[in-house]
Amino acid sequence: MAWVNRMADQPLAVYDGLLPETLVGTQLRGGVPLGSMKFNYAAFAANAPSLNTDTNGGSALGTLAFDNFDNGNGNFVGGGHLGFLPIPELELGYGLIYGGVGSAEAPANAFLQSADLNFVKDSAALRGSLRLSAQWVWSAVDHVDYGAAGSFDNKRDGGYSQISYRPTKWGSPVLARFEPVFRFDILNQKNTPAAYDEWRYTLGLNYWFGAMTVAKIGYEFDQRDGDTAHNAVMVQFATGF
Amino acid sequence: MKKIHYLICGSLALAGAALLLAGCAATSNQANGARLWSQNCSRCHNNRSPASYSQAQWEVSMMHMRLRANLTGNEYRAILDFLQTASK
Repeated sequence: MAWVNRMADQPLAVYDGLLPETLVGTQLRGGVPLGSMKFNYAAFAANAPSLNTDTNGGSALGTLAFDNFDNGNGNFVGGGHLGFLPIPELELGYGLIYGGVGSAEAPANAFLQSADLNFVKDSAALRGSLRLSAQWVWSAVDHVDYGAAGSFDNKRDGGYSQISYRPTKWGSPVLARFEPVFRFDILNQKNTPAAYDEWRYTLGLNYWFGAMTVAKIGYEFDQRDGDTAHNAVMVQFATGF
Repeated sequence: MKKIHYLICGSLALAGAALLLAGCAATSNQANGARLWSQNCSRCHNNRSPASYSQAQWEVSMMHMRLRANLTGNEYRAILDFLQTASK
């Protein structure tokens, strides 16, 4: 993800869930001004993810494995992202990936789509910095005969919305270091071998030691339709360059 | 002789005006760079102080961030100018 994650874990469905976090390939990207507005774009071709056809894989059957540093099955995917910024603080985006993900024995294409929204506003009126982000992903993989496991409608979708606020303009250097954050994320995959839908509410509090160092603590309320819920306490310390 | 005085005075006035305009343009470019830095960089991460890097280091950093943030050429140059001017 391009932005610094305000939570200790990643949202459901998005990166390395239904969408890749990275792919090996080539990419063209940039920005185009349009008066006071702006577009940004990215287009790429990359090694395709591979379809998990291992029937011993249980709930992972039919998922996509994205960490393909080689091009073992000879497949490539193409895709891109288009972002529109009507004002500098707001970005609305749409992205897609399409290509072959199967093997010679089980050919299949995947079509992944994503819609995203990001809003970041730092102002005196807000007395701090407000961040809103949301993304929804649709994944559709062709029907494949998985042998003993049969076939199924391999469609999944999910996404998240998140809000965080950092009170940097209340006149308190201590208060300015804290950042409460709330996230709701969801993954719909009940019709697949995973056999459960999942949704979570996560409350978090971050403490910024500096611009690039943060401690995060959060509590995640997890609910699953068709499986046992897994609530979690999360603590993470992160630093970067 | 009087004409030469007029010419010299006129030239000095023009040069002064040009210097003033250039100064305003530089200040305006700096302000533009600061605004773009605030808008674009904080979209993904906290803004690091311009004084935390040298001019050469900002050049390397901005080469990378121009790509990551999908900056236009004008945005890249304005932000780099601001950061290098305010750098350590």
